[in-house]
Amino acid sequence: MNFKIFTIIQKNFLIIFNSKLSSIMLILGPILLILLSYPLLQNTSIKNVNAGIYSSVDEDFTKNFIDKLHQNSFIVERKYSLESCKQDVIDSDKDVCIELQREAGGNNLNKVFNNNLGYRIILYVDYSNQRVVWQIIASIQSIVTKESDNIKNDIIVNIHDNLNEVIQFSDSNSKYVDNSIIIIDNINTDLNDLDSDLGSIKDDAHKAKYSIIELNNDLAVLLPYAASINNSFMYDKLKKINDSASQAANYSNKVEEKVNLINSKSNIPNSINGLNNLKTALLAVRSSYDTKQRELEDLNKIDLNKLTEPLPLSYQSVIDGGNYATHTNLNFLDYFFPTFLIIYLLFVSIIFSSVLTIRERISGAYLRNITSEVSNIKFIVGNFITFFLFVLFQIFLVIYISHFFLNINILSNLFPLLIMVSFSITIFVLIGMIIGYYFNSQESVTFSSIFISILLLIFSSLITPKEFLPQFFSNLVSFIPTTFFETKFISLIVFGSSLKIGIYDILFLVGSIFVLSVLLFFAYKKSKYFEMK
Amino acid sequence: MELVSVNNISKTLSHKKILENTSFLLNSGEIVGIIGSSGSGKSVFLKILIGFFKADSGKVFIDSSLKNSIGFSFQENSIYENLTIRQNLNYFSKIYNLTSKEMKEQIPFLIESLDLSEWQNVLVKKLSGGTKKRVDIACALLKNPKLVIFDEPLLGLDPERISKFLKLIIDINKKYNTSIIITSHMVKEIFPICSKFFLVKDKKIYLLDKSKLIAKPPK
Repeated sequence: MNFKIFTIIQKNFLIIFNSKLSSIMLILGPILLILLSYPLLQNTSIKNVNAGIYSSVDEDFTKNFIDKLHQNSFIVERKYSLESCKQDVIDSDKDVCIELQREAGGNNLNKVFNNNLGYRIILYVDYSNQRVVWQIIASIQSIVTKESDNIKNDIIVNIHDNLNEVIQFSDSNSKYVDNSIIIIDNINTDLNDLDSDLGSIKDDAHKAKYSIIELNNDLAVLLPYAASINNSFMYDKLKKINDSASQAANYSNKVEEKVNLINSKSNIPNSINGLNNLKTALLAVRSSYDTKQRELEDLNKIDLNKLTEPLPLSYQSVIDGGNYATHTNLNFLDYFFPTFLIIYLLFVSIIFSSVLTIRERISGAYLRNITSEVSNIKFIVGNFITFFLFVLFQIFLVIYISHFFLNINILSNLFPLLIMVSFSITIFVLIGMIIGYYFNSQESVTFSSIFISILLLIFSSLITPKEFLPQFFSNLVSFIPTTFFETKFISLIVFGSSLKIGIYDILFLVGSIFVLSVLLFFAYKKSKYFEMK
Repeated sequence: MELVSVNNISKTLSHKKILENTSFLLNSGEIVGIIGSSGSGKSVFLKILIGFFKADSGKVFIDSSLKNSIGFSFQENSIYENLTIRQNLNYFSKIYNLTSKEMKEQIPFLIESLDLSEWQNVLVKKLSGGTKKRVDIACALLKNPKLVIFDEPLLGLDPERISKFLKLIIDINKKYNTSIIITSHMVKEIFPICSKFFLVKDKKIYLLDKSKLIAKPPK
């Protein structure tokens, strides 16, 4: 029993290795695949990301941000409307649309912090580009984080400077206050002296007054005697009047001296000037304090969370908030479906058409066909149309079932999608037929068709997004059928866009079909030569 | 009238000389037999006549009346295994540009003549080897060709069917003046119907003297 199994295994190996091309494909296929894909897959850092930027903020900040993007290998184009910026992402001309916005109250913040705060950044991305979108967000996030750190440092320095200014101002103006206090003390002392001097003046003046009153009393006593003259009594009284008058004169002198003394001690005019100067200085201090207080109040109003995230960054799907009512609330399957569709279409078209072509060639009826009067072209075209219709039917089933059972919104854009599907089937079926005519055994055809399909798959965005490749290869990969059609499917299915075919697209489609048709013709000729030699 | 004239042709396949400077002649209305051991080059020669192979040297002249009027049935049946008998005949009728009227007449006639009525709607791959051979013969005779080439047509046929087949080709020959080239190891069976015999041996085609064959029937 075991020997029979080995016999069967041996027979199968012989079948495969009896065909030279099968043997070559068996060994070379995987080696070539790895050699070709290894340099593409080893570098997973993105480069040459195409970004559109729309800014409604000042030019300095915008230019600074664009420079930072350039330094991180972004290819940046300035857009002057948000809608056109987003549309570029939808059309796959750009990988991301960046909007620079001003936050509410930003102007007040900028007054305090020299235009470093008050911005926010919004990214509009295509989530269907799953291998790349998160890396793009992370790359921009790192740029924003660095910039935020710089802004935070600037803000902190700014706050410190402001506080230092306030402290220095306080220090420098406090001496004015001190001087003011000293002046006030001096004034107080002078005023006290003045007060006491005035008190003594008052006493003297009171004494003078009594002396004078006494004088008057004496005089009053004297006056009647004045009428009877040459009396010693009158003489004493007159002498007393004279003494009193002298005392009054002394007291008056003293008052005068006191007054002079007060004037010389108090220096009241100077004190009055000093008080006026003081008032002026105090008013200036008051005004400065008011200004600083306002600044500190502004500082107080700031949301301190800005210090931890000076440049807030958010991201959303490029179609959120737009005129895509039927295409919002998308999930993973919606974003993945276009890639799934192109992979299915790729493998089915190439393998189906190549295997059926070789089966036709190795069937007995092939002899009767090629010796008939029907032209070779008719056989090729007839087979092509057959394969095309089979694959189209399958794809239509996939689309139909996906729409109704997986709730993927496809039918709203069915006709443009079918146009693109038709082009893609045409190209992949032609590739399959070329393989079917070029190789001469079922085994080598099978190996080759799988190899070619996997090679084309590697270049799809699922495995090797063009953003991971050097610029030259990135441009080249854009025109590989898998990438080209996947981009169109995403635009039609995910975003519900209308079909847009530019001049380069037409050249690619027509050129590809023409080149493949020529190759098919030569492969057919080669197959006939092989059979007839 | 010369229908087919082959002059000094040579043919190499897979680096092996199959035919070398050999000639052949077929006249209109003849039934000729070609005999030779297996691998002698009979099938290669016949494929040169139908245009599938090109001679490396020499000339192959085929009368203009034979254009698109050569039918053939080789050892490996030239039919679709995944179609029924009727579907095969319908398809090849259209490939051979038969009109609807011709199809309506010819297909039932051939099915009847070759005893295929019972299996006409069965997939060819489910049929026996002999039945498949008869289907292939039917396809060869679809367009009432002026020249029909049969390569080992008797393989897998029982004696009754051999007799029926030989009668059919004689009838076709008489009715339509169809020339027939037939190769077979069963020389005794084809001997009576062939006017000439050719032997393929040592890379050449030799015309045999039938009278000598009569005197000494071939084994």
